[in-house]
Amino acid sequence: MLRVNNLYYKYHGAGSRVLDGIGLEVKQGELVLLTGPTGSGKSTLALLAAGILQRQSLGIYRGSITLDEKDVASLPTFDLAKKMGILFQNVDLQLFHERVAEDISFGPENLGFLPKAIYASLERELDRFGLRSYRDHRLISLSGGYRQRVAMSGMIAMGQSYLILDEPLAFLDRSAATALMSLLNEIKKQTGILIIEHRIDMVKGADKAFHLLEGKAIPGLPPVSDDFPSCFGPGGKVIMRVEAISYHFPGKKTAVLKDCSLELRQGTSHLLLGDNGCGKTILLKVLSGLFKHNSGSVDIIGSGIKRVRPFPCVGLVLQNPEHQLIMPTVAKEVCSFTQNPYQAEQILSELELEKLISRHPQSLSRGQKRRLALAAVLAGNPRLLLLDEPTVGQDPESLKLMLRVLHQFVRNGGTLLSATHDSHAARSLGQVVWHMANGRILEKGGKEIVERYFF
Amino acid sequence: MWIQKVNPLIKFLAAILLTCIAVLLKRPESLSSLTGFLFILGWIGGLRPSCRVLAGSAIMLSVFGLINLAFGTQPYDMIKNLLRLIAIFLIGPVLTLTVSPAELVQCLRRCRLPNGIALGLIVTFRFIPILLSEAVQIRDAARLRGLRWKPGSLRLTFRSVIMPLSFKTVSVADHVATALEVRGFSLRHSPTIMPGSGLGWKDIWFIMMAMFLPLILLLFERVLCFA
Repeated sequence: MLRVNNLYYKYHGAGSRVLDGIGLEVKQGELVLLTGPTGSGKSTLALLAAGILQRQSLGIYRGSITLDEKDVASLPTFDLAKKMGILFQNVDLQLFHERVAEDISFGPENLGFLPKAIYASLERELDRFGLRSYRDHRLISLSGGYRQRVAMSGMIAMGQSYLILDEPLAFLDRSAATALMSLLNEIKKQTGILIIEHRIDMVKGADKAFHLLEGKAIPGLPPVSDDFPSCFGPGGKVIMRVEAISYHFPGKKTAVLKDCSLELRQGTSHLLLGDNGCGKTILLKVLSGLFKHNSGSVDIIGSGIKRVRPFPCVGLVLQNPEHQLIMPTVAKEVCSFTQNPYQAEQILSELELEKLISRHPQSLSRGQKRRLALAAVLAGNPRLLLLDEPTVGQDPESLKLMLRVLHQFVRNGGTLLSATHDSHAARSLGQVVWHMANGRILEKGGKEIVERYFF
Repeated sequence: MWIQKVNPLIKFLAAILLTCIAVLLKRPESLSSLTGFLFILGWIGGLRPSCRVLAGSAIMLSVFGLINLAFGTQPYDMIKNLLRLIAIFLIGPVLTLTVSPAELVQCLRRCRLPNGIALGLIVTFRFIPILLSEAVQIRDAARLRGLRWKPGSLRLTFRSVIMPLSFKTVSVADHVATALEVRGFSLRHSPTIMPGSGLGWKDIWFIMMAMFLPLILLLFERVLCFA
C-alpha cells in the first residue's frame, strides 16, 4: 500500500506550506483520483510520493510516505523503480530513446526482463496504445499526444505495482483518453494507481477521489458548476485568408498539412478539432508565421503584410508555454511587452495572477504558467490570437477565468483560433469549427461538429 | 547509412584515436586531409550545417585566429591550429549523429564500463539533443513575442534566449538524471542485454579505415621530415 501520512511540505523561500497535513492511501486494486486548483500542490505531492523531492532538498518536509510499509525516501531508487512508476507532467523529459520501440523497451530492459518478455510487452503496448504504425518513428517527429502515449506505454510495460500519473490525459484526444482509462481500469486489478487530473469527467472507474485545497486533501470531488462562459463574438469581416496551404518538415517528403483552406473573421471564436497528430499545432505555427508553408497562401487582409516571420499582429500561446516566459518576474513578463501598463494590470487581475506578480515565472505551476503566457500575449494587443491546448493544467475555475478573458477579447473585435481536446472548452470556443484529420480539414461547421466529435 | 550501423564502441575508439592524431599531426597538408576525412564522415552521417552555423563557426574561427596572431603565433602555425581545432570539433557531431542513445546504452552494458563514466556518457548523449531542441523552442518563442536580433537589443536577447537556456540547462540535466532513475536505469544492477549482431564487415572496414588514415598521415609527415 502507498500511504501518505500527515505530510507537510514547504519550499525554501515560500511563504506558506504547500502541503499542510495531507493523508491518503492507495491500495493495490484501487484507482485514486486527486484533483484541485492549479498551484495547489498536486505535482509536489506526486513527486514526494515517488520519493523524488526528498532527494532534491528543495524544501522542508515532515510526515511519512511509505510503500508497503517502507519509507520511500530511504528506499534505493532502483528498488523503488521496480515497485512504483511515475509519469511526469512534462513527458518529453521522461522519454529517453530516439525511437518509439526503443523507448518502450527501455524500462523492462533496465529491470532485467528476459528478452522474450521485453518483446512481448513491447508488442502488447504498441497495440494497446495505437502505436503500431509508429513503432520505428523518431519521437521528435510525433505530436504531443503521441509522445504522451509513448511515455505511458513505456511505464506500463514495466509492470510496476503502483503508478502515479500526473495529468496523463492532458494532451490526449477523447478516444485516446477513453482508451487509456479503460486500460487503467484493466490493470488496476494488480496495480494501485494515483491519478492527478483536471479532466475529471474523463476519469472513469475511480474508487476514491480527493481534492487538494489550501494544503489539505479533502475526500470527494470539488463542487463544480458547468456554466462555462461562451466565447462567441459578434462576428465581422475576414482578417486572414488561408488558401490551400501545405507543409512538410524540412528534409521530409510527407506533408503534415495538406490543402488546408480557411478564413478567420474579426470578433469570432474559431476552433480546430481533431485527434492527436492531425496537424493542429503545425497549422497554428504556420498561421503565426513561425513555420513557412510550402505551398498555398496566408494573407492578413488589410495589413499589407506578405512575408514577415512571425506576423507581428498575431499572438500564439504555445502548447508548452514555459519557453515563452522570459522575464524575471510575473509583472515584468506582462508589462514589458505593452505600451499600456493599466491594461497589463487589468489582464493580470482578470486572470487572478496579481498575487503572483513578484514570483519568477518558472516557479509557477503548469496551469499558472499557461495563464501567464496568455496574459503576456494579450498584453501585446494581437489582432489574431492563436491558442494551442489552452486548457492543459487548468482546473474548472481557472478555465472559466480564461474563457471570460477570451470572450472579452472576441467581443472587442479580436479573432481567436484555438485547438483543444477539452469538451467544456470546445463548447465555449466553437463558434466556427473545423474538423481536421491526417493533415486535412474534413469539414467546417458550428457547435454540431463539437457535439458530434465529443459526445 | 552504413556509418550508423557501425558498432558504437568502435566509433568511440576511433574518435579517441582521431583526436590524438589531430593533436600529433604537425603539417597543414596532413591536418587538412584529416579534417576533410572527418567532414566526409559527418556528411555521410547526416551533418548538414546551415548557413547560420557556418557563418557562426567562421566568426569563431576568425576570432581564434586573431587571438593566435595577437599572441605572436606565425600565420603558418595559426593555420595549423585552426585546422586542428576544426578536426577536433568535427569529431563530436560525427559521433552524436551516428550513435543513438539506445545503441550507446547497449554498448556500455556489454562493455561493463565503470558506473561514473557510463552514466556521464549516457546523460551527456541524451542531454545534447534535448538542449538543442529547447534552444530552438526558446528562440521561436522569443520570435513570437516580437524579439529580433538587432543592434541595441543585446540585453533583451541575453534575457530572452541566453538566460532561459541557462535555466533549462540546469533543469534539463536534473530531469534527465531523475527520469533515468524512475525508469529503473542503474548500472549497479544487471539489466537485460539485448542480443547484438557482433562485429560485421562494416565494423571491420571502419576499423581499417580509421587506423589506415592516421598511419598514412603520420608516415607522410615522417617522409617529409626526412626529405
